[in-house]
Amino acid sequence: MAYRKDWPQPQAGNQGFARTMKVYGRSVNVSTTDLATINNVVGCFMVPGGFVLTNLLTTVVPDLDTGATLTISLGDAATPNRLLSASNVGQAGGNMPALATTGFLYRFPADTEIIMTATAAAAGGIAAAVPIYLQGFIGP
Amino acid sequence: MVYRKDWGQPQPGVQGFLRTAKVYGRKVNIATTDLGSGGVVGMFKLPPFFLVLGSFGKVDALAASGLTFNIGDPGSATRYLSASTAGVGGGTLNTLAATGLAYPVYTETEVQMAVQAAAVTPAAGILEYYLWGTIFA
Repeated sequence: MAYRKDWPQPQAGNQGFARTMKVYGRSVNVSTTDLATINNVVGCFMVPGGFVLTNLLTTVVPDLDTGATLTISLGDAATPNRLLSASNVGQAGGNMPALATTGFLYRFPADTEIIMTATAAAAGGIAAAVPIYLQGFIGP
Repeated sequence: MVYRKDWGQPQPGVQGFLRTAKVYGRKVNIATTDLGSGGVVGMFKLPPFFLVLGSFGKVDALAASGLTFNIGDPGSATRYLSASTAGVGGGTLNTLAATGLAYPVYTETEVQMAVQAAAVTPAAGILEYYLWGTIFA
């Protein structure tokens, strides 16, 4: 059997959004119920398959706890602390911490829901909008 | 001779991807034979009229000691990263050299990793490296 290459270059390239930098996220409405019990989970938003994560934008996280017991993680169903692990930033509010090393250059293999987990419950939860934004690009 | 402007605005604009932030790069397989003194690995290409604004990267442990490497192009081997030791033990490569920041690439250019000091006990691994920036013209 003989093979003959008939097609010339260039062929159609990547989809237009390939390698384009994107930011996914939103202000997530967190209720006191979400913070009242350990391991409560809030579905935040979806990121598309092929998204390669580079950083977590340094937004300002509001005070979510009248006390000082709350810790939160950010991740997905497979690894709930992939992006942020048991952070206490919600105890008094402050800048969103840096992306965990497990999230750096992580390529989401499929459309994936980003979740926030209360890894330790709040002493007194405060309902607030938490701005969560992931920056990265659509991988090749 | 009289000139009369017949055409109205808007005319066709610039290319749609102009000034859109793009990220070029990939996971590069590094072999032990790449890690000797003077070794150069072609990693990927940047398109013409790409303005480099930042970098992201991480590297596996490629050596027990000794290794330093640069990332640049045929015009300047150290344009984006100079004498990094991150390959000893592994690490991240997020700081772009000052010579790379806002560097305009005018022609299609290969980005290269070049070994500056050879690895002691080299190990094969992944060098994942990306340059981000924008198409400026």
